[in-house]
Amino acid sequence: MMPLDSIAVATISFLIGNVSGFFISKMISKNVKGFDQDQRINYLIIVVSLMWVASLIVDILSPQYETSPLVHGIMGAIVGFFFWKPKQQ
Amino acid sequence: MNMEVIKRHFAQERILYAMVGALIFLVVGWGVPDIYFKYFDKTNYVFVNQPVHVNQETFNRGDEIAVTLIRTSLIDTRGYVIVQLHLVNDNNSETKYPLADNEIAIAKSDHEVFYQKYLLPTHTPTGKLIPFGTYHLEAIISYDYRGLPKSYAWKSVSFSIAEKITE
Repeated sequence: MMPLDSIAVATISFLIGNVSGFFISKMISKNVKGFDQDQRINYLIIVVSLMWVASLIVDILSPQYETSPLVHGIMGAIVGFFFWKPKQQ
Repeated sequence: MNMEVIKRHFAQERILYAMVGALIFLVVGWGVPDIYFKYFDKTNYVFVNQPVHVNQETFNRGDEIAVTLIRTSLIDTRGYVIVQLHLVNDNNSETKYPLADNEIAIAKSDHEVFYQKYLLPTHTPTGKLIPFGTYHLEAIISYDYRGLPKSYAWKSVSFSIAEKITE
């Protein structure tokens, strides 16, 4: 894939992910009671972890695909960052 | 922005959690596929439909033999092929004679047809005439996948090397 094509696909995927996440979050907030900040963070952690597991599986199953170490690191950093909860004062 | 909010969100502990998370995901993300491919992966990424067919049933010493290879490759890679001529002896043991070896470029493909020609030897490496009898070709394709050596062997149908009577 040409670099420009890769950038275009990555940008479009990012935007689709952003917009989908925004609308899904709104929908869940409306229909689920008590969907607060903490719940959102927990769902974010679960989604990112599931995406990471999926990338591992595709890494093994597809001969052409190899997940970049940077992607592993970023996903782990996101999970770790949001896993920490500030102490209640 | 409120400094307290920033301090709260980027507490040292939180940064530490992020770094530990990154490290764990990195190690597991690199380690799991690496262990799988090293110890469990038995996939042939390059393979050939077998048995491999040759163009004639009987050849003379020094004749050209043409093999038809129908090759599938799941990856783009470079490989090394070693082809040997196997004589099947009366007691079912085999005597091997080198035929050809060369480096090849392997492109991702699905049932790609190749015609490969080899020159049958007239003499053994020790200088004697190649004996008449039943032969077949065997080849090993060696290549790398994710830094790990892999190989695939193919075998041709049997054919004879005999004195051909030309009409």
